[in-house]
Amino acid sequence: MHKISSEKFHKVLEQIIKDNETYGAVKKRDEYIYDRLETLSDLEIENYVPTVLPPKKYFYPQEEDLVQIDYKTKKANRVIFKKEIVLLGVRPCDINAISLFDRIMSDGNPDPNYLERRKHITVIGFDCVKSCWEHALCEAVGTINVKEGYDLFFSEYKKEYVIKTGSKKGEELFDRYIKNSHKLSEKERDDYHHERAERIKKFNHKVKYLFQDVSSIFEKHYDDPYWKEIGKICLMCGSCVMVCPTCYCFTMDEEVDLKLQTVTRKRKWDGCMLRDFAMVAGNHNFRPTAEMRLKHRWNRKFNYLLKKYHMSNCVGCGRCGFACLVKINPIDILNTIMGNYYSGVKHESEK
Amino acid sequence: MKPKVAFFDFASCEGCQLAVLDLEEELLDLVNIVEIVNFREAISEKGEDYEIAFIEGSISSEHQIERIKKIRKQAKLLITIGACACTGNMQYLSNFFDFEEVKEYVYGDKAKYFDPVQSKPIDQIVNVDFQIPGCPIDKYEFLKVVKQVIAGGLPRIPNYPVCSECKMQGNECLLKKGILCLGPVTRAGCGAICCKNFKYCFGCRGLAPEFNIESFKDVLRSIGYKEKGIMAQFKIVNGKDIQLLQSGGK
Repeated sequence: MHKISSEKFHKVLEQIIKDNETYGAVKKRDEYIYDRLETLSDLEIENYVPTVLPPKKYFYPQEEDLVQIDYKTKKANRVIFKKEIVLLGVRPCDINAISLFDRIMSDGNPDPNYLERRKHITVIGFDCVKSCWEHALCEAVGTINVKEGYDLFFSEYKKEYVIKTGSKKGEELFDRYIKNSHKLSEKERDDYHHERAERIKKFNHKVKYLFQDVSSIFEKHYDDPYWKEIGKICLMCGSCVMVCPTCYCFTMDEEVDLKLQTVTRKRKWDGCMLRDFAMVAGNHNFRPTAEMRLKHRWNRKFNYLLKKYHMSNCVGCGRCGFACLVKINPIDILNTIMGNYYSGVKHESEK
Repeated sequence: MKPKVAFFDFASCEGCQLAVLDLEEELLDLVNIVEIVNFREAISEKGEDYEIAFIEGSISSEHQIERIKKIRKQAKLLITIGACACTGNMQYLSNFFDFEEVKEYVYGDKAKYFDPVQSKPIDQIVNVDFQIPGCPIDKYEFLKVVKQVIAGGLPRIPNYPVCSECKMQGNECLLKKGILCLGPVTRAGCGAICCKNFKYCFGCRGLAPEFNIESFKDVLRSIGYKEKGIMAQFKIVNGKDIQLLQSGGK
């Protein structure tokens, strides 16, 4: 483990931006978005709050071509869009989401488009030293720290920056960009770990119950009355799905070219909160109501996928809670449903 | 054989037809796959043997009713383009007033020389096969629908609200800033072009197939709008649907 001075840290970032096509959190009017960095001054380091969209858009774009089919020869060709880019200043919540995406996309039927594109994206993470906004629940879902999903990771430590490498690519970057760094002594290391553990106290502690029991509680309280309550006010606008760093559901669309020679099969973002997602032939819908969709979406985050991947599929960034116009948010969902469970509120089927 | 296509306009600004002509890069390829036989904005010929008719504008006179019925009889496929033809647009507001007063307001004592009827979108007069909404239409969506029709597929436009599309663009939410934006109830497909340019959505693409209007009204009230102002904003483009909602039709 190495550290560099704050001044050096800024110089290194400046050089990375100069040498690479780099993207990071940039302020646009009142909110932040991930956008191209021209200089280091574009990047928000100190006062970061989650961007409108997570960096997911670079790994898994809103719309992408998958296959091109020639009408005459009936031949299909795979299309993979990829570009060598660097994401700078990705926060632990989003890095956890990327690492989750890496697992999901290589599980079962691996997704060649994602995996190929992923190889060309370098992730340079920044640690969080304090809570970014009131919507965050990273402390509860355990995503303040990162284990994997990054190449380089910087964390502030006594006005200096400690550097961790998370991959071979990260080690190469380290050798290329970081010269004259100091190795942390054993004492410093212990102190660093202690300080990092202590910093967690500065984060939101809004979820009142132990998170480890969440999936079994969601299962036992599958028909909790809270779903009906929020189902009534949900606008079904899909904003929560679009801003979520871990939502990966998609729809397919084909488009023919104007010469009527090739058809392109496209993948587009879709979400379980939207009408067409569970629509089948004959206009039947598996999940016609907002209540059913909310229940499904949050069971995916806290129950089904949590059990499958042994980590929360909500990484606690709070983007959905901020985006929701009727204030449906994971903190209230966790507190209400777990609260109802512990206080013995009966669910629908028991009444 | 290239299918024969015609464009017709009724009460409208003809901006949707101009949006089609604005497809400058694609026009030559487009006329390679269809034959345009009638298009007042672009050509002088007036062929009557068309198979696909694109209709812009709403119906506001007896004469126009006759004309649209004739077009429907000829066309195998009738597709309306733009808010006027699809939802009635703002001229539908005449339906909220006493029609005699409207006539007098517009024509004064010469009303007897005209044959106006209360403004109606096309689908209230004849069957419509597909609608491409918007004020004006999105030219690329128009192109996409044309290609889907020619290739023999079912045309598809988004069924989700503008909010989804707006978020995909990474825009900041205008409602969060207290601006009355109709994104949560309006059909997407425009690429949230207004919100992207920091203008509120006024609902030109019509109501989405699914929305929660009561909850949305609560949101608007919570940022300081009154019932009257909210309904006025809704009615600008979606008067027909609001009328249906109020009579419990939807």
